[in-house]
Amino acid sequence: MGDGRGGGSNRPAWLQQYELVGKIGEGTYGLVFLARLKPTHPQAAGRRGSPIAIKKFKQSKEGDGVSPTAIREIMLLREINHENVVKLVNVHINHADMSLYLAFDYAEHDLYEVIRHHREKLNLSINQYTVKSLLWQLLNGLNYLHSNWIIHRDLKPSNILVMGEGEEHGIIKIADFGLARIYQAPLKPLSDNGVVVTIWYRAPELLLGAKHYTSAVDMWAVGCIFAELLTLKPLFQGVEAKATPNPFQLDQLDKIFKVLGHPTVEKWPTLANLPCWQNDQQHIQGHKYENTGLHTIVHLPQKGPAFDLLSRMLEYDPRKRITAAQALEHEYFRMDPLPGRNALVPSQPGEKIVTYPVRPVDTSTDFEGTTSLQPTQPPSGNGPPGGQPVPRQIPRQMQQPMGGMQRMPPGANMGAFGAAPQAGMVGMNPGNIPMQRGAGGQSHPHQLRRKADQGMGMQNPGYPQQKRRF
Amino acid sequence: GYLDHLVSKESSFCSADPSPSMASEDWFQCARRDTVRWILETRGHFGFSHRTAYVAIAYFDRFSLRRCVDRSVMPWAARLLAIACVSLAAKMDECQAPALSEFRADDDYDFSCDSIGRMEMLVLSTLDWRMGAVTPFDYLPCLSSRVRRFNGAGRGGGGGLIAVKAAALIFSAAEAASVLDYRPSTVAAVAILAATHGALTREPLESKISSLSPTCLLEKEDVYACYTMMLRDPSSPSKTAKRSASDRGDADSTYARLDAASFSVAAAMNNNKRVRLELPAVHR
Repeated sequence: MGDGRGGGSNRPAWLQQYELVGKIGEGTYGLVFLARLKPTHPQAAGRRGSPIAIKKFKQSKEGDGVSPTAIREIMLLREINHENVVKLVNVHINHADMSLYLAFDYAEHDLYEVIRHHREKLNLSINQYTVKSLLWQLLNGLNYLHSNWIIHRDLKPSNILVMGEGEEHGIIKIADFGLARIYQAPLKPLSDNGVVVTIWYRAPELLLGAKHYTSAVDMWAVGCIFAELLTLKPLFQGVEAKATPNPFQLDQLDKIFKVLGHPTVEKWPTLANLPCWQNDQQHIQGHKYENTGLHTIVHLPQKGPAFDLLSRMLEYDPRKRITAAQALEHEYFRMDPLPGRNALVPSQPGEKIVTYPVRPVDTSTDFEGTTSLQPTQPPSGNGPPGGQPVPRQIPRQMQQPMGGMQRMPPGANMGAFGAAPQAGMVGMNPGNIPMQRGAGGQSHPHQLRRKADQGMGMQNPGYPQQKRRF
Repeated sequence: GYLDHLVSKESSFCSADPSPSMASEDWFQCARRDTVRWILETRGHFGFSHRTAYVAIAYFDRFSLRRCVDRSVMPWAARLLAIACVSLAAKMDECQAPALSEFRADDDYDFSCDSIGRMEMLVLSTLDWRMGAVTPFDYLPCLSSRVRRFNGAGRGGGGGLIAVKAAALIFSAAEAASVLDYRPSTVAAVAILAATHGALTREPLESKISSLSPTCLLEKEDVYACYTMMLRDPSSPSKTAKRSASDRGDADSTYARLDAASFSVAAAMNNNKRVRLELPAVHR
């Protein structure tokens, strides 16, 4: 694998540490590849052949230098250390075209695919243990982020990864921090980012143009995801108004109000101050929504804990909306079935175990995103069933093939800026930084073996009565 | 609360132990002062926040601790580094960062965008991508409101003026010595007190400090040293750097120092002020 793809020996040293399996995704940010650590990799000890997801950032516009999105995402990921948040293993700089490659621990599944599998293939709802465990872990990761004053801002099922078979089987990882913000950073409207963000999980205060929003926007998204795990359908499937530069999304608000009823200033006092509420008298304020009832959509008893938790997450007033820390204390998580560490495999004997499909891999694409003319066969176990070509669009980007990259002579770049020889320093090759985490700089190359987490001094609330679960 | 979170974070950005570095050398102190002044001018030019300028200075100081810039490539190397630091700080903190080409306008140097971009990469990797920074400006709103509450309204001309004075003091301290020398919370508290009360002797200073921030564990020695430095006449030559010059002896042998010759075009530009810097294009 990997040989004959992208120029062989001309590849930079960091790239030779990986065996490329293929492309597993693409978005506005760039491409994502699946690769495996070769035994020669400095971090490969004890984890030979570990699957790694490598996210290639698109080059920013010519002349703009390193993209702000990449800087912010990597900066955040460098500071984050939690079992339920994706782990950044390495950052590589390709000096030839100044592109960035981020290496993450690979997760085989995500909630988008899990939900789709149940809806389209199994025609069967997700069992209560799995729903509760997924939600519990999601809240656990989110509580950690919010305690560190980080707002994710783009939570949706496809950004919530679930680990495949292995030591971390069934553990969720919050991913994609491209829009995440540290509290102190300026909050510009999402529409200004030029990034396509789905509006289905967007909190009403954002849709109404709130300038100063809080971590409560993430909790709204969790509520939407909770409902989707229960029903296998997005809760509020609004049609995005693409033309408007303002945050106001009438159809999305309409979908929300039809289910949750008309928002009132009595229940949500700051509503009157929101720009879009003030400016839009005839559409929303003129309309009278009847409360059709959330409980009829999610099929939950109105007096039960699950419904209570869900409706607290979907509270209109962001100040009254339940926080991640409060949600973890909710009665729902204290009653049977209790949430567990492996969300995909319930411990109850006799329950059917669902086998989820592995991620389709496009093996015809190299690290640069160029497509080879003769696609190679997918490797066993990773390709789509039957080795059929992946039904995803293959980009034909006019980029330099890998042969254009050459190994950096050490120190040739920016030679005037020597490294002071201090302990723990980056060497002369700034392109290949082994990542150290947290303020203490402790690195965990054996993260897969790590059960508990101590990052950033955060308490990691254990699973409720976890003795029964493990 | 948020303040406690900031205090817990800021220690990771302070220089833990003063290590041998260029900081002890006079030529570097001059280059650093020029750089800080340029960063402050650039802040005004683009209308960046105070915080952005301070973050850029902090990047410059952290970079200088980790890498050595040879004297023979001054002053342009310091300017290129400063541009990269300001650009990165703007990308982190400003809603709209300027295009790299905008940094070339009416300046003494004409760096290509590619060179600035590569310098950004070098700064990012040298700083381990740890670009989050806590600055004194993060504490000012909270501290100045505490001062107002403590003193009653009116004293010192109101909160707005105090904040302006404090910002000026913070930047004059940043010009004098590395911003890594003192914790941002200390700098903020000292600046607020100096802006409100002017020069104080040690005892009243200590009592004011303890009334101002009982939660922040400010070290008294640090507070007094920082206060003295901040109120010193900036025009008088002084040894403000906490790091002593005693490390200088073996500095040359321990640094991975590279001379201008290793830089492809640097040799040709010694006497030419307006030069186009092309960093070695090793891949083409």
